[in-house]
Amino acid sequence: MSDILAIQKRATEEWQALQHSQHPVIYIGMGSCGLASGAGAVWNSVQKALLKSKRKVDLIKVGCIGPCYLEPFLDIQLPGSPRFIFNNVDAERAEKLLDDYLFTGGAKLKPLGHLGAPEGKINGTESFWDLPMLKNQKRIVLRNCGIIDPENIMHYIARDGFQGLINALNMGAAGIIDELKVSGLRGRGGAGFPVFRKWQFCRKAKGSPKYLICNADEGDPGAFMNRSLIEGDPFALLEGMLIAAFAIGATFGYIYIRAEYPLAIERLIKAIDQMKNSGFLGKDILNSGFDFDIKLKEGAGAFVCGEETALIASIEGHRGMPRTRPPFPAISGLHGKPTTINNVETLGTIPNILRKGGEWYAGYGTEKSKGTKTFALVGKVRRTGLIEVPLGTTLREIIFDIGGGTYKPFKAVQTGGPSGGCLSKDYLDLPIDYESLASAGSIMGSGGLIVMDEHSCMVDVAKYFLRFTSQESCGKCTPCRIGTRKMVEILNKITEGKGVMEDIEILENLAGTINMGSLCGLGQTAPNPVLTTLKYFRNEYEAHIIDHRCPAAVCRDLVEYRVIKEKCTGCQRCVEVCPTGAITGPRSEPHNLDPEKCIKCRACYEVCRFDAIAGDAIVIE
Amino acid sequence: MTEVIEKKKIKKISITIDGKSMMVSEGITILEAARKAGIYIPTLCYLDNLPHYGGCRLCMVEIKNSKGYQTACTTPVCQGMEIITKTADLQILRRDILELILSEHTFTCLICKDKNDCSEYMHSTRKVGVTTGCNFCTRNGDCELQDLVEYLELKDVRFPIAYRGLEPVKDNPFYELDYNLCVLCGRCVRICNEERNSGVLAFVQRGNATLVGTAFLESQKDAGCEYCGACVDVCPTGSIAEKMGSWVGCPDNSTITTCVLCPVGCKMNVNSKGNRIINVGPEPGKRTAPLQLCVRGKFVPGDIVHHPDRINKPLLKKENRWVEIAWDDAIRYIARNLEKYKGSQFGMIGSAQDSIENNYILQKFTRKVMKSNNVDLLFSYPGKNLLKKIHEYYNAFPPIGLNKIESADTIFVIGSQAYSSHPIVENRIRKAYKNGKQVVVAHTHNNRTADFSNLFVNFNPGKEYSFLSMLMAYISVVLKKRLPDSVRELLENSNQRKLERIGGFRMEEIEQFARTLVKSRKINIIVGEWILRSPESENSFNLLINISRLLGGLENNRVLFLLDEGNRYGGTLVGIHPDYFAGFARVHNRVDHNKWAGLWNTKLPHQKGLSANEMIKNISNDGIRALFVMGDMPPHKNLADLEFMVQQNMFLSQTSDYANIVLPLCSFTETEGHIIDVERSLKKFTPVIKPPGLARPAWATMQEIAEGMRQDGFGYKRANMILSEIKSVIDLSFSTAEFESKRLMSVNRTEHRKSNKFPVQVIIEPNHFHYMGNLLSALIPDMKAIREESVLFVSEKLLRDLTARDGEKVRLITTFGKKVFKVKIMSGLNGKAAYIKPTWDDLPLFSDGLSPERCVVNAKIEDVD
Repeated sequence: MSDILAIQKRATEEWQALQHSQHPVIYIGMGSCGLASGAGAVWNSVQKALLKSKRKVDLIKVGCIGPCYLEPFLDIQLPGSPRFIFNNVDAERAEKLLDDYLFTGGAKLKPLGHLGAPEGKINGTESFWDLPMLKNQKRIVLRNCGIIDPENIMHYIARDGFQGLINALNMGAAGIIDELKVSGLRGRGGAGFPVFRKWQFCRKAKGSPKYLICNADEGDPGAFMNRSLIEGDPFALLEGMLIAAFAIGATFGYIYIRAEYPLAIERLIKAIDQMKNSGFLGKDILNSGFDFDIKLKEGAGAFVCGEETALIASIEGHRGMPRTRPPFPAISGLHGKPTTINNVETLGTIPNILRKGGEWYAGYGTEKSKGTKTFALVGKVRRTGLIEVPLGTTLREIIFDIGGGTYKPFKAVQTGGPSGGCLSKDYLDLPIDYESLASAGSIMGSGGLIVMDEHSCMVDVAKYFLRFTSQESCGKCTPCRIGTRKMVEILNKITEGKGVMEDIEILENLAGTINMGSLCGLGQTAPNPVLTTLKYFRNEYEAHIIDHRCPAAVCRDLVEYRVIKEKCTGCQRCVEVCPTGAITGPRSEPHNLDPEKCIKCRACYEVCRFDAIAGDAIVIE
Repeated sequence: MTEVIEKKKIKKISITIDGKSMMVSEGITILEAARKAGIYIPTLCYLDNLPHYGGCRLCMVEIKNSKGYQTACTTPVCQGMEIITKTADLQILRRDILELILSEHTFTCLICKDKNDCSEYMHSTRKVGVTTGCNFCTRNGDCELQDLVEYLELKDVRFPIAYRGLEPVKDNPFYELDYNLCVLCGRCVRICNEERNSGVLAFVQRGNATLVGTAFLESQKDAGCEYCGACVDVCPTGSIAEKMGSWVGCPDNSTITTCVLCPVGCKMNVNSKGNRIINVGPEPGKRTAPLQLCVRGKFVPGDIVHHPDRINKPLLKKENRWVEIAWDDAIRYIARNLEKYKGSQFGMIGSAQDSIENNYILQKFTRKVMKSNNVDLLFSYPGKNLLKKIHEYYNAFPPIGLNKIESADTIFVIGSQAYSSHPIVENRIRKAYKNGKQVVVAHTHNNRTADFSNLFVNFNPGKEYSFLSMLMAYISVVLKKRLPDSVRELLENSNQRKLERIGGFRMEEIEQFARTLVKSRKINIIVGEWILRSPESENSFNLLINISRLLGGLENNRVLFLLDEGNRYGGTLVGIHPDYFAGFARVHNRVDHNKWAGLWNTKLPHQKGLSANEMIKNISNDGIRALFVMGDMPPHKNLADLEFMVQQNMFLSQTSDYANIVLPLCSFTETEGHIIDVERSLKKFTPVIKPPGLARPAWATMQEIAEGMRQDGFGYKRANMILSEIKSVIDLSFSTAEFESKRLMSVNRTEHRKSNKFPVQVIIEPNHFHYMGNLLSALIPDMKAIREESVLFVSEKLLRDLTARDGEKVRLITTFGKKVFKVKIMSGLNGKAAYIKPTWDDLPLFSDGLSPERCVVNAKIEDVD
C-alpha cells in the first residue's frame, strides 16, 4: 500500500502544480464532438502560435465537458487565475484569444465561464457550472470529463481516482455487493437490472475462469454517452471494471467497443498501458493478490451486438446473433463460463459509489431509480450535448431548463433510442425513471434523448427507427427479421400517401407479434416507436392516410413547396442552396419556385430566415 | 490431477402440460417433454440432438406465472412448471409468425383453397416431361410448411409475396440451393457446423437481407463442401433439394438398411417408389433427426443401381461381341469351362464390399470345387498377416465404438485421411476436438484432419515406421524406461540426424508429441491406411501396440484400425484369403486343414495360395490360367493372357473386355447379407428393391455353377442359411480372448527409400470411391466433378522447378512408366512431395500388380516438351 500512497502523493503534487502553474496553461476539448467541430484546427493553430512566440505555455487535451453545441472549447488558465472557458473557438478566434490573453494582453474577449472555485462570478464572468445548461445537472460519472487530461493517469489519481478501488479491495467482494445494494444502482445499459444482483449471480455461479465484459457497443442513433465518457475519463471505466471483476471473481475482462470509436479505443489503450505500468492492472494489483487483465475487442458495427448474448457470440468469433436465455450469461456466458456484462456508464459510476458510499449515491434520484443518469440531448433543442441529471428529473426540466427548449413548438421526445418511444408534450412532466418511462410505453434505454418539434413528422420518425431496427436485425428469428420489414413497408406506404386505415390495424397487430414473438430485446422493443407514435400521434397517421397530407410537411410524396411572395425578401439564400435550380428570381424581389424542377429536398425550407417557403401538404386524389 | 467421474443421477421432476401431469427428467426442454408425452407443438427450426436454437418462434408456449410466452424448444422444464401448449392467443401468435414466414416463401400452393382437391392433371403450369398438377414443388407432400399451415389453420396471407428473385445456386453437383424458398430456419447451417463440422454453410448479410450462403460467397466446393448432404436431409422446405429424385414425388416405401461402401456401415434409410430408389435420406416427415451419411452413402446408391449402363442379362463374348444368353446356358458354359482349370491354375478375386455370405461361398467354391487356394479380396493389404494380428488384438481388446472415440482425453491419429475414407470417423474426431479433447495427428502431409488438431507432425511419405520407432523411443525416454539396445541405438546423435533427414520430422516435434501422449490419461489411437497399406504394416502394428502398452496399458488405451471398404475384415474372417480358412484357421496347418476338409466333406488343396496381386502377376501358362472376378477391378494388361475369365458385375467395364462371359450382379440394395463393420459388429443389409432382370447375388451364382459341376454342399435356399453355416464354425459374437504380443520388435525393415533418379515422392491416395471395383468417377459424372482424380497435386516449391504452371500439364515418370497429368498446386505438401488420386487407368504407373505396394512411389516430374 505504500506504493499507492507514493503515487497518490506524486499525482496530487503534479495536479497542484498544474492548477497553480507559473506559466499559462491552455486546455482544448478534444473529444469526438470537439474534433468534429474543428478542435483539430484549433489545436494546430494554437501550437503554431505558441511555437512562434517561444513562450512557455502548457497545452493540454481534455475530453468533452458537455455542451456540445458550444464546441470547440478552449480554456485559458493564466498564472494566479482560474481556468476560463471560451466557446465556439475556431483557428482564427484561437489566435485572437492567445493574442488577447497571452501576448498583447488586455483580456478583452469575454469568456463563457470559469472553472475556478468558489463558484460565483470572477472578474464579472460567471462560473461555468452556473450556466443554464449546467446549473441543474449533477455530474457524478462525468465529474472528470473535460477537466482532466484523459491520457494522464496522474490527473485521474489526483482527483481521488482509484480510491474506490482501494476501498473495494479492503471491503471484500461481499462488502462491495452490499454497498451497491445500498446505492440502488441499476444497469445503465437500458433494462435497469439491479447491479448488485447481477454481480451476486455471477459471484455464486460455479465455473472458472469468470469473465467481466464491458459493453461499449453504443449503437443507438444519436447516442454518445459512452463515447464521451471513455474519451473524457477512460480511467473511471477501467477502475469500475477492476471493482466489478474483484467483486464477481473474474480474472479477465473484455471491453467490447465499436470500431467506429477510434479515439475512445486509442485513449483506452493508453489508459490500460499506464495502469499496467503503475500496478493497477495485471498480476497482484496493489499487492492485494488480485489479478486482472483487460483486452479490447472491437465490434464491427452491428447494433445487435449490444445485446449481451450476441456480444458474447461476437467475442467468441461467431456471427453476432443472440441466443435464448436461460442459461443466463451469469451462469454460462463467454466460452460457457460465468460472465457479467455491464454497460460503460454503470462501470464508470461504480468507483464513485465505492469512493463516497452507497448511501451518498442513493441520496440522488427517486425511490426506485437512484442516482444520476447521463443523457445525450439532441435533436431540435437549442442546447445540445451530454448531460447528467439525478433520476426523477422531468422531461420538461431537461428539455426546457437544461436544453433551452426548441426553436419551433415542441412536439415530441424520443427516449431510449430505436427501442424506445416518442412521448408527446402531455408527458413533459414525467419524471425520468425506469418505471415511469415504461408505463408511458417507452424505455430508459442507454440515454438517448431526441427532441422533436413541429417540423418533425411522427410517421416519418417511426419509419426511420423501424428501418434502423429492421436493417440491424440479426436475421435469426422470424418476427424480427420479417415483421419489422413488413412494418417498414407499411410505413413507407403510409408516408407515400398510399396507406389505408386497415394498415394501422396491421401495424398494431404486427407490433404485437414482434413484441411477443421475438427472441431478444432488439426485436421485442422494435415496435415501440410505432406503438408510441400511434398512441400519442395517431392523428398524424390518419392525416397521412385519410387526407393524404403530412402535417409536418416532411414526407416527400405528400409535400409541395412554394414561395410565399408576401414574406419573401429576395435574399437569394434559397437560390444558393437549391440543387436543381428550381428557385429563381433577382435579388430583392420575391423568388419563383418551379414545382417541375423541385425534388423536395427541403433545403430552401430549412435555410429561409423569413418563413417565406411553405411546405404545403398536397393531397393525392 | 484426478478427475472424479460424476455419475449424475438424473432427477425426475413433475410438470403439467395441458393439464396432464407427468414426471420428466430434469434439464430436458418443454418440447422434449411434450414430445415424450405425445403432445404436438409446432416447430420449424428444431433439430434433434443439436444445441437449442429458438429461431422460428413457432413453438411458443404459455407457462403459468411467467411473463409472455417462451419457446418450448429452448426452455428447460423445472419442478412444478405448468405449461399450456395450445390457446387461442397462442394459435394466433403462431399463425401470425407463420404468415410472416410465408410472405417470403411462395405460398400460393400452401393456401390455395383447392389444394386438397388438386388432382395430378389440374392446372399444370409446366410444359415438362412429367405430369405435375399444380404440385410443382420438389417437396410437395414432404414440406413442413404444409403441416404447419394445416395445424395453424392459416387461410390467407395479408402481405404481398416478397419473392427474393435469387438465382438458384447450382454449383453443387448433387443438390440445388434455391434460397427463394428458404425460411431461414438455420437447420442446414447448424447441421453443417455443429454436427458435421464442415463449416461450409453460414448466414450471410443481416436484417431482412439475411440468407444462407458461404463465407465470402465462395462456391460450395471452394468453401470446403464435403457433399455429405446433411443440409439436404434437414431442409424443411425444399430450398436445398437433391437433384436426384426431385420430380418423382413422395416415396411409397422407406427401408432401413446398411451402407457397405465403407466399414463404418452407416444405417441408412432408402426411399423408394415402385421399384425405383428415389433417394437416400430421411423418411418423409422425419427430417429433424437424419441419419448421418457421407457423400458415398447419400448419393451413390441410387445413381449406380439405376445406372443406364447396368446389365441385367448374362453376356457371352462371341467373335469380340457381347451376345445375350439365357441364364442356364451361361451357367452350363461356365461350369463346363471351369472343369478344365481345377487346381492352382484357377484364381478367384472377391470384393471387400460384398457380404460375408457371398465371400464365404466364393472361397468355399474355390477351395472345395476348384481345389485352389488362390482366393483373395481385391486390393488386399500388402501385409498378409495384418488382419489376423488385428483380429487377435480385437479379440482381447474390442475396437472402440465410434461414439466413444472422444471418451479418451487424447486422440492420436496416424496415417489417416478419414475425411475421405471414413468421413463419419473424421466427424467423430472433429467433434472430439471441438469438445476440448486433444487431437494429435501425424501424417505425410498437412491435411484436413490436421485443421482439427492440437498438434500435427509431418513425416515423409513412406516413413511411418521410422516415425513410430522414434516416437516410441522418445516415449520411453520421457517415461524414463530402461531402454533396449535397439532403442538406444536409435537415439544416438548420428542416427537422430539421419532419421530427421530421411524421415522429414524434427526430433523436437517427436519429443513434444511423446510428451503430449505421456501426459494423457487415456488415448484412442486411430490408424489409417498409410500404415495399413504398407509392407511394414505388421511391424508398425507391433510398434503401435507397444506404444499403447507403454502409455498406460492396452486395456486403457485402444487402437482403432480404419480398415477400408465395407467388409474387408468380415470377408477375410470368413476365409477369402489365400492363407486362411474362416476364422483365420491356417490353410497349411494340418489340424485346421483336416478340420475344414471334414466339414466340407472333401479333399482340400495343399498348394500355397496367391494373393490377388500375385495372381495377376502370375498369369501364364504354368501359372494362373482361369480367373473368376466378382465385381470389377483395374483392367490389368496381364488379363489378356488368361485362357478363361468369368466376371460377375453390374456393368461392362474395361476389365470385361478380357472376360469370356459376364454375369449380371445384384447391388447391396437388391439382396440381403451381412458385413462386419469397423466396430466389429455384424450388420445386416436388406433388399430395398428387386434386382433388375436376371441379376443375382454371388452366392446364388456360385451355387448354380457348383451344381452344374455336380458338386454337393451348396444347397442353400437363402443367404441366411450360409450365415448359419458360418456361425456354426466361427464365433461371430467375438467373445474375448487373451492377447499375446511381442514386446519390442527388432528394427528390421525394408522401408521405402528415396531415389536420386526419382526425387519426387508421389503420395497415392487409396481410391475408395468405387463399388465392388467399379470406379464411381467413371460411372457418375457428379463424382468425377468432385473428386479431381488423375490430377497431380504438387507443392508450390516443386512447381517452381518446372516451366508448367498451375493447371497445365506435366509428365510423371516412375520405374513403371510415364504419363501426362494436369498439375495443380496443393498446400500442405512438403517440398518434394506430390499427391494423386489415381483412377484405374493410372495404376499401371505405380505398380506392376493390381495396386501399389504402398501409398508412395518415387517419381520424376518433367515438363511436357
